[in-house]
Amino acid sequence: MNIAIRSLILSAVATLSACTVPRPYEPPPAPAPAPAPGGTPAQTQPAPPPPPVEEPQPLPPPVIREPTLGAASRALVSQAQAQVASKNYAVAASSIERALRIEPDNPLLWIELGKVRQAEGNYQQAENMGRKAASMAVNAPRTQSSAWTLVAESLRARGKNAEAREAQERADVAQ
Amino acid sequence: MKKLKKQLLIVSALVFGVGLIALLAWLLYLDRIVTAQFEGRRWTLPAQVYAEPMELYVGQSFGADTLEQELRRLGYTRVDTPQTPGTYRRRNNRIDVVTRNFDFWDEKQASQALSIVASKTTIESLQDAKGADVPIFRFDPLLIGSIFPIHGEDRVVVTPEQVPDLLPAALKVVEDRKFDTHHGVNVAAIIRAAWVNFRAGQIEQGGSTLTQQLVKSYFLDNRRTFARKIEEAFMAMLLEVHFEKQDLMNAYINEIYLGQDGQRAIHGFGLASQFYFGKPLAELQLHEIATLVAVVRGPSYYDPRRRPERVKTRRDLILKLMNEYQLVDDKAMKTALAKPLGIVGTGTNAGGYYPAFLDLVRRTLRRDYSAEDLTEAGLKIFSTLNPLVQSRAEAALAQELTRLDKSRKRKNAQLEGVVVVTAPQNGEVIAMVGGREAGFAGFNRALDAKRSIGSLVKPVIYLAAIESGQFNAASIVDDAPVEVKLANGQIWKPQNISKELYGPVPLVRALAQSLNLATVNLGLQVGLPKVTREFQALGLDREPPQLPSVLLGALDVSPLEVAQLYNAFANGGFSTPLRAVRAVVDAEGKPLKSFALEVTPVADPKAVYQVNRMLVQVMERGSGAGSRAYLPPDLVVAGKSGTSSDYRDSWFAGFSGSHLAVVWIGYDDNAPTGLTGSSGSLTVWSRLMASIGTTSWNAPLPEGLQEASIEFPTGLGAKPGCAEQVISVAVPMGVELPMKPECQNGVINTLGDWWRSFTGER
Repeated sequence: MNIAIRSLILSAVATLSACTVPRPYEPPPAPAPAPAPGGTPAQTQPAPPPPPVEEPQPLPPPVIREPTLGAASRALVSQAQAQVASKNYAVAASSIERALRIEPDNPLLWIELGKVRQAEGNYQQAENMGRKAASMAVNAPRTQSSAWTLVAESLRARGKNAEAREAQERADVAQ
Repeated sequence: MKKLKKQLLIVSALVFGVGLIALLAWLLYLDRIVTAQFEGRRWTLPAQVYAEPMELYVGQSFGADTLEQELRRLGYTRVDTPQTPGTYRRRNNRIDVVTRNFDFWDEKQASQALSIVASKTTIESLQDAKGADVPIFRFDPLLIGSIFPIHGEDRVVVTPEQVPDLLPAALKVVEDRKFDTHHGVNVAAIIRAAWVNFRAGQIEQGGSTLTQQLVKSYFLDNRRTFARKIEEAFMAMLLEVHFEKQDLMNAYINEIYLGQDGQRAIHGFGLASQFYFGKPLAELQLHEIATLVAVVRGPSYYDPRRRPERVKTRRDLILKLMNEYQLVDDKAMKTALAKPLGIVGTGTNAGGYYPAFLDLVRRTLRRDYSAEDLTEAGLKIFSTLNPLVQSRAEAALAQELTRLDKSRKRKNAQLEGVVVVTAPQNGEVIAMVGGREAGFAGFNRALDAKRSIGSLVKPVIYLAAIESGQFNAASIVDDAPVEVKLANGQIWKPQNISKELYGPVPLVRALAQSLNLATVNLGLQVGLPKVTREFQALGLDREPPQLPSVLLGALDVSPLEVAQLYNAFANGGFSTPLRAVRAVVDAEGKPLKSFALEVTPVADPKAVYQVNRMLVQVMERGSGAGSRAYLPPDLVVAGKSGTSSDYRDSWFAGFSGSHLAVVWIGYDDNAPTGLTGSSGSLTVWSRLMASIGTTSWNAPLPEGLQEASIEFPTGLGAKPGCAEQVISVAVPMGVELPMKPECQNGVINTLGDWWRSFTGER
């Protein structure tokens, strides 16, 4: 089961990254075709008898859409990574912030900003950025996983091992 | 006799000697003043404040027209062949521009040639001179003001390299033709001027050299007494002894007074160039240089904005003089003569000056910098202001206040208003209007006017309710009479605005229609401490008193604080301190401080998402529905109106995907306005949102929540076809809603699908 989902995700990611034109932040597209017909899970049972509680999640997994970075953000992120390498943390953060102004909803950028904070030793903000990214990375397991990994690492760095383990579990589950 | 003569001689020699010593002492004293002051070159340099820089990248939603407008706002000049920084050429959709170099706090941006192709709405390509794609480019930011000291002297200092050659040449021809050779004073000129003035019976000509003018401006006040003249002449001569002509000219160019903008005195050609033409001194053209030289003679008499005719006449005279003295040839003169003055809008409009916002900048920096640092040390401050959004906010507010004032009974007082706009995800304050008059004095309503916020408190209560786990958007709450015995023994008995009772209603309806009784009952069930703590969690700097009246907004909060509270909703349960400053660098460009983006989780993102979806219903079928007349039909926004008791304050706060705006309207003396949040502030909010190209609120449905279709009036599970007013809300996974009997067969998620397709949600 797990492997099946995983390969499904991977193939979805592969096709997505293959055909995605880098796209900057833009208004949502005009009404798109509704999500896959399977979107309404098996809920057609009559209402009165309460459905079994803790029923497993809808069988057909939701459409997976891993975020990608637009061209401008890509350039700024690689610039920031070079700046981190030369320990220029404030400037690196500033580069990521420029990208975030273009794509504020892109969890990948929040993860990048968290990594800058992590490199600089500001683990509290690194953790917060990770949580922010995780809250935005819906139906994007790979991104979800890197967000929780960042949270886990930041917690571990502050000696919060129990919470770190919990976060790491979430990272592993998402993956 | 002889003895007497001798004595007299001795006495007079003594007197002369003493006088001479006194004179020498005085000269030495003057000399010390002159050299000490001048060598230090300590102009007080007010901190310069820059707007948010324009970023250009492929896909940016700028049409060619907008882009050209923005370039003009930055003072770029349209030319046939752009070669020097600050010039551009437009051919249909293609704009070729040579950018200015600029030292940002994080990067030095060199001047470069760019070719931009834009459709009507979007940047399609961005390339450098070699034809290589440029992923992103940051333009030099607009100078929006400075933090000048109380005496009001503001200036931008320029180095000799930044001064066009024609400026000193023109100054010499017009003001002081013997500048290169005299020793500080020009006796012939003084006598000639005295003669002319004597014949005219008034002062028509000045005989002061540039050096004397410099001394007068630099060391002395404006009194025109004979003693002052003598002092001035001596100081001028002393200056000439110590310093080179080139230094004196440069000092003159940076020192001289060239205009007034409210309390702000415009000093030096560097700032005057920005103030009158909106661009750096180095980029001025001949006719613009001549205009500034015309102003030197008397900035209030020759005020280019108030006396354009007078200034043009003098400018033309100066152009002819420059031609006569062979500074420019006939052709250049004729071209310049044919040009209009070309002054940018006044200080309070475009080319602008934003007192409310600058006040916020000043207060932000006051924590880290002394007043002297800010007004004297030449700091550069990179702010978050977006001039375009700011001007739209000013316009939206002014338009509505003017309309409302006409319909008010009060004729002796004007309605006032505030607009605060932020970018919710990073907490940057991108616009702030502190009142109908942009040029306010002292009181900044956006920060200082703490007024009762009425129903703007409601989302906080609903968030506390949902976070408690006892409620969801479809939960039923009773809109029924409620009485609370207060500590002082009085009975508090709130009412709905309509004075009616609505009975059992779902949370979403109670919030959308802003039902007071339902909300009070809900708040009391949740518990006041939970509610008041929620305010503080979301970013209010103090916990409100635990009084039931707080549930209906008896809470005095400034518009900026409201923005901080609502920002936590717009940001999905994360708080980020609102910022007006990104970074500060010193006079040499060394970064001193940056205000980095910080986020803190303050509320459960799932609970916040549920409230936000209810706030969307406020705009769809509640107290915010009036906005639909102004907004694009497919734009999803969330918001809430607020009205204080007796209609003293009209509020609206709400957000889209990319902007959050808070609007307040009321009287300064707190008199009733007769306006609700929906009838006053909502219009300003909607017009503003419609005019700034904002994007839909489309946060993805968090894991652990599901869509549910309910009937808006009753909260019963429903679907279109078997019920009226079916809406989609988000509820926790596993929540089973009682079904409307007519809809018993099969629930459900069709509306959820509709919602998802509507918002393009993943």
